[in-house]
Amino acid sequence: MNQNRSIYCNVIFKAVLLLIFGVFIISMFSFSYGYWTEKLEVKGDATIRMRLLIQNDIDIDAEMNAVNGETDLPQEIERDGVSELP
Amino acid sequence: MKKVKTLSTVLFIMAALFVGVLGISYGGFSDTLVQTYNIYTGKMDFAFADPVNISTPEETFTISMQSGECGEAVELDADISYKDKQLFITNIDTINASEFIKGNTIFKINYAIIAADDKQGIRQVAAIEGEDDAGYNLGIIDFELQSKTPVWCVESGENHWGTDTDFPGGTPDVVYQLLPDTLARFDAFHTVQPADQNGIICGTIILKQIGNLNFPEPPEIGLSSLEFDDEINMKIANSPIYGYLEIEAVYGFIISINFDQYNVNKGDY
Repeated sequence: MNQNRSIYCNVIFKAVLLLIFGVFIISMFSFSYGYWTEKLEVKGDATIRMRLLIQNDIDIDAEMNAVNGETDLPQEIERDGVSELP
Repeated sequence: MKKVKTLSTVLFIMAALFVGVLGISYGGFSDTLVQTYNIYTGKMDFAFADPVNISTPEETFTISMQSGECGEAVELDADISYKDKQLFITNIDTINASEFIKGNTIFKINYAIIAADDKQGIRQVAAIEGEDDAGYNLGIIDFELQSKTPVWCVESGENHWGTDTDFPGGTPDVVYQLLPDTLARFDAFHTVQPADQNGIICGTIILKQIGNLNFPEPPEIGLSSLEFDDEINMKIANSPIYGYLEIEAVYGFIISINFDQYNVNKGDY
């Protein structure tokens, strides 16, 4: 039992030691990174405007028909009360 | 047993020798006068200058734009502020994208700095004043798209559709396609003047455009590209006045400033 306890204490001790080293190394990296990258910087932004002429490239007649519900299909013609297709 | 005794004897003798050497070195170390000097290596530590020290702050921090080397420099209105090592130039006057089509746009940024540590740090960087000297090359600076949602509007006579009109169709896809992620690339150069009597160092960053902006030439767009519904297309097509698509987006840049400390003339200090 004493042996088990001794092994357990050893493991805990090594884990704590590793943790301390890890924290120390990370801290050193962070400190040196901040020191290394600290330099004069100029930051800016500007609004850019684009203005383009709209060219009509749409068939107006087709658009009008679409708006009015008309179609290009042949329409029935009513003659003398009898409807027939042309 | 004999081995253990021999080992013990050797260890004892070595320990005695170490103690003796310690005593001798301590005596030798303490038997002197000690004078402590602090010698610091120079460090490059500058910050943007306090306006109290600048006689004309409005003329010190400026940004201007010109077309080509021989073009007239036009000063741009902007909100300029700084904090320690960062200079912010925001809300620069609206710039037309057509300025970047020719590929010869030049920006000039004037600023002032001072040594952050007056006693310890280097108080003067190497000056570059000659006209033949382009200055330090700070590398390539990109104007990158900042705004995820651009502002757009279509005007046709008295009709108006866009971001501010709660347009039901949302932003047309063609608006996003017309905005490049990188508006323009610039080659950045940096010149520095000698420090004045107050220790203020004035510098100028020059951005020279590289390449052209990929923009429709002439600046036109087909009505069908907007993918509006028929009713709106009719209004635009039948309007006696030409319709225009206008887009506004924010582009930003970051410039890191490097200095050369090894060529400082003694007379400048």
